[in-house]
Amino acid sequence: MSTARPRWRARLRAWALRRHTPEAQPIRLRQRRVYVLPTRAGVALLVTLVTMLLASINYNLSLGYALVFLLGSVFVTHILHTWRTLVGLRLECARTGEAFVGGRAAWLLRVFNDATHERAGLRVRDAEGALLAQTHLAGAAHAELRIELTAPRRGLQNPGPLTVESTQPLGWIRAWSYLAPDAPQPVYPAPHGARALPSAVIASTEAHGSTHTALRGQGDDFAGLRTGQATDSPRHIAWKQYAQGKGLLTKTWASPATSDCVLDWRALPPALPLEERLSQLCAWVLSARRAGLRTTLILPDGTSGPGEDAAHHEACLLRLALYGHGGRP
Amino acid sequence: MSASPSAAPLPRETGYALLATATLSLLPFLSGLPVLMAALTALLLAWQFWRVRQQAPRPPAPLMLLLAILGAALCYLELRSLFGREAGLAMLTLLLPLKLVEGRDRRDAHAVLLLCCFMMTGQFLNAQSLPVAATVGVCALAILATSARLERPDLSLRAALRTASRLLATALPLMLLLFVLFPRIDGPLWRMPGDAFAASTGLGDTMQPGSISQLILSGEIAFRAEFAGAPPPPRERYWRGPVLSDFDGRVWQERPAFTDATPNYRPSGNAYAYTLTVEAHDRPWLLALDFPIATQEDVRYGRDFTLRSPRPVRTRVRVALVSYPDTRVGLTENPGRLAHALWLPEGSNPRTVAAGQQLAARGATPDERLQGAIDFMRDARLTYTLNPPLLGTHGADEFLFDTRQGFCEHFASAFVVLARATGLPARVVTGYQGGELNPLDGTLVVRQSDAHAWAEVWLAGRGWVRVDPTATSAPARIDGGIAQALPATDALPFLLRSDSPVLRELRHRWEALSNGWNQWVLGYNASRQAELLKQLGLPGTGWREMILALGAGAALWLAWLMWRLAPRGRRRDALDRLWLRACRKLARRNLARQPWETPAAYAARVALRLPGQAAAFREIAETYASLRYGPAPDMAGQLPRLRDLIQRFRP
Repeated sequence: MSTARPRWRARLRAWALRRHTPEAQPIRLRQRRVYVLPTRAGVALLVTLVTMLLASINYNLSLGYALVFLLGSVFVTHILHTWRTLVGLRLECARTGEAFVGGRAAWLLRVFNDATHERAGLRVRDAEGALLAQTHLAGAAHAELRIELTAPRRGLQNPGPLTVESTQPLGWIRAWSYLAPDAPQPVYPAPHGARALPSAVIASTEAHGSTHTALRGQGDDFAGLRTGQATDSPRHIAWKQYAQGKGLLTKTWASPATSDCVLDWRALPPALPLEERLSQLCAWVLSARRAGLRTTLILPDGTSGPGEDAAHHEACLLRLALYGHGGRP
Repeated sequence: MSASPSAAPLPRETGYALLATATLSLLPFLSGLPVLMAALTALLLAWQFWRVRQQAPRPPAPLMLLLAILGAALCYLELRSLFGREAGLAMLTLLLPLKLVEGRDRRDAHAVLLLCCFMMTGQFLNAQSLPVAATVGVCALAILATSARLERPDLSLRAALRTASRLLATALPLMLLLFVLFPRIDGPLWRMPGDAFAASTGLGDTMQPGSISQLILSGEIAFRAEFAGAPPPPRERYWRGPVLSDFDGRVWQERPAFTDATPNYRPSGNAYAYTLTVEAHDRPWLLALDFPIATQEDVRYGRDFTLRSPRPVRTRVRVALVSYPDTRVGLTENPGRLAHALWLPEGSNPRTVAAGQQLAARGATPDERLQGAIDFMRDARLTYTLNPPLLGTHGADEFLFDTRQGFCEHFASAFVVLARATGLPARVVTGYQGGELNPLDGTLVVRQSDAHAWAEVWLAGRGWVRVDPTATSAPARIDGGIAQALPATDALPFLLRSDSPVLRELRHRWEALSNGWNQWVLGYNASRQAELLKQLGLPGTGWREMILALGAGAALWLAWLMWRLAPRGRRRDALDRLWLRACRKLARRNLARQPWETPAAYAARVALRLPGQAAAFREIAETYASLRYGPAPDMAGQLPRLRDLIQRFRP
């Protein structure tokens, strides 16, 4: 239905969300923002019921009246059931993963049922009405739904407006509500560009394609031990220390490859358009991160780094995403 | 409902559920369908079963069109029509399996379910008995359960049925309310197709040999009478139907009826008050006991003393009547009518006419001639049987002088011919005689098998006098009913035989139940509604009052439902309520308990901020914690103490 009549839907949505776009979290679906209308099947049923009522009047069918009234009463009951499937639902939305222009941006939508009754057949749709996720919630349960949308533009992207709906229990009635959660996902520039990373040492590392340079690069020197993590390769675990009862430790190596790598906006040809320039820088930051390099990012509006941890690389990517946007999408 | 989930083919279980629902709603129709159409329907259902099993794709559209045309052709061949009630229903029974076979996704499934709803209404056109109501109830349950399955394919059959029955149970009060209070409109909104009542049985406005004996074979109920006091003895139970005075030598026919708004007789003698519930028979007569005065206005009194409804009786009707069997009627009969009641066609039944003329020559007074005719019938050694030999052109002659075996219609017909030949104005009256008292609810049940024909003779000073020539030959027919009058070799419907007391008891029980059902559920019409509302004490019985009452009732129901469905959290017990009260008191001092704080942690925090209250609150918190979480808490003893502590606690 959403695809069939997008115009009035869009208008209703704009009206419904007129005050709070994007909304603070968590979002609770209160009575006033849950809309209820019959589905196409429901309208067809109503037409059938009217016909049946006319036939019953005409032929004086007492049981015909009874049947029409029974189904009509079920219809009314259905409205309440569907309505309460949504009312009181609590939703939280958080971004997850990384998004690049032209790719997919993902969020996790947590749906909490604080009531004791079941909330079945919950569906989440995007602005065009395409189904993103669906779930059934038992009483006092919650679920985590992954929502993916296309990321068309660089900057911050919110996952909205979304529609949460249900047509339980018989599919005659649809209750729905619109959401525009405030969960901005930064969309980084699409990483492409053929230029080599501006660091000679890196080039050789790249050629090897090693993914855990921080643990073991080539020609490394043993640098020390650190606390073990579940993701560490068993090859790097300090078994000797473990046997001595010192707990799970992981051996690390200092690599000459973790030297500075300066990603400079000015190093790129001046004729390069803005987005392509950002794409190239993004590709460099990603390679540097993959190689675990100490990176400095120099943009016209400031310099980040040097730094080598994940947070630094993410900050670099965020600067690229927001470059020229002033911070907000 | 965007395209994505609804266009997907149905899961197999849902397909089976849909097929079962459709079959359930089709079953009652299959027996009534012409054989070929029933076969086609069954074939389509079997095909659908195979389709669901194999998850086969839908058949090509041209094939479906061909099948639809074939079905329509069959319908036209067998029923000679595509419209009207019977043909329309037959077409619907074909349409449903066609749609089923053609269907693929959820939308088609919903269409099938709607057709099923329609079929159930169609079923009520045929019958509205208790078993039919039960079937339709099961059908409605199946339709709802299948809808639930369509909505949630992962639902188990049992869970779907549970959802459906819960919905039905919730909806039931509103349905009853609507049933009672929805303003009823009587009568058709549009003209019915001509064949709508072809199946009704009952007396016709003509009588020829065989027309009543056919009725006798039906155990169907013609009407019921509920007497305020004791019912009249069997001998006086003559229920008057059409009066036939036109005779062409073979067929007796009713004269065009003149009716008045008031009876043209003055009632006298014994009075019997009763309510008549007449089953639909598509004719206007109301089959009252002789001679009725109605206590309601919308009846007409025929000049032949029949009671008539202004319209053909197409639904069960109720009339409240008082009958006076001893009333003299027709004392001042119109001479034209009397002349007509003497007329015999030229040359028909010569032997009977001759016998009548002989009787007329011997008897001087009309009374003597009447007695002569009665004696003649008695002396003719006539036998009462349901299977009389076929008669030729001169029916009365052959019956009286040759075959001497006949049924009430032969007796009545021959007697009237004889009486007319003696010069007495006479006519045939058809109707019902007798009836059986149901000991359970006290109603007198009169069946088609009680159909009867008798004669009426006009005597100066006495008016029209009833003469039952059958009584002279088979008095048991009048006193004991048809089952006793017939020889045991004659075929009678099984249930009418009176030799099995168990069967008889069962039949009485069942009929008492159906009578209640008929009276209160099926016969619930505008007048019943007004009656009930008056009894309920509603100020008026107009539409406005009904709609107001309906609105009020619906609002109550809605409130009940909202209360039942209101999303509510865990219900708190007395202990929790007390604890929350203490917490609220502290919250007013800006010391609200944080959700993660245990009672002990909370008490420690409170002790830091309000050292003066520390001891009091620690006791409260400890008591609460030990009652809530401790082993074997002494609720009865400790709860009042806690209440006391909290009451005295003033932070």
